[in-house]
Amino acid sequence: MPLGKDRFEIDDSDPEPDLSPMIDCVFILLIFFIVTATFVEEDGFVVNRPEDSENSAQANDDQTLVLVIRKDSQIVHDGRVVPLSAVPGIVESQLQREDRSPIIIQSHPQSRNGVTYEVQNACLEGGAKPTKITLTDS
Amino acid sequence: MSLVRRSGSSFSEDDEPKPDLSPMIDCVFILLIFFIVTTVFQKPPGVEVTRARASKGARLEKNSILLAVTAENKVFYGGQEVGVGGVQNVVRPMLLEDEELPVIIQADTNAFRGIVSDVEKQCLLAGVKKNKLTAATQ
Repeated sequence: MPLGKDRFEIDDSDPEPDLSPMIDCVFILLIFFIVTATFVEEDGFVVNRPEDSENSAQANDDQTLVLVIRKDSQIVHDGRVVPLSAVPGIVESQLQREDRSPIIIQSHPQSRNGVTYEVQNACLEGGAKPTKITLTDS
Repeated sequence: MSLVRRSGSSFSEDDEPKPDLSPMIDCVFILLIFFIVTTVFQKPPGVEVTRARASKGARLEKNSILLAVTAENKVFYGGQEVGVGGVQNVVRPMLLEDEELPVIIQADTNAFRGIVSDVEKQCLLAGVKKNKLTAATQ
């Protein structure tokens, strides 16, 4: 026992600092960062825009699939109004003919923005490569 | 033993020996550092928009500039209305720090396509990289 007493006296010659305030402080920081951590998870897609207005001239190209969104937010393909549900099929058949064909979605400035995104989504559903889809204005 | 200890130690008032706090502090520190590192002080646009439904949307990058276009065709950044003309002023300084910074446009499905299109153009003019311009969907 005298040995044990000696050991404790040696330990206490350099007294341990009280860690509680530091722990409190670290906990406050921890809680602050947990609360402010915003795990923003957004779904969406890349918006491809033409380099300049000149590029829309290639829309006349036979291999390019052009989908026009009119002012009344109707989708027009090849002169006919088509429902959104028909777009994946149109894209698929176009890609079967020419699998590298670019797709241009030409939207009227006063059309609903959501329609453009829905058409872009429908094109992706039809198997189009995201980089091949370009959004332009009419 | 406890008697010896009590006589030797100047700081412990209670009979029970103090548990060793170091592993807990280590653990808390690791959590703290994790949350500091993962916290992105990202300014939310401050408005809630109805996004377009899209099944093919991919997960967008977390650390991005978030712009919102409401159904009333107002452009928001960080809780303030900046307008289409203010987009460049917002985006440019942020690109100076990191020129690869992506932009996420949260556009309401009922916004005019033309306004969203203008925001996209302004972003590209401000120097956003082509494949870093993204649109958020549901």
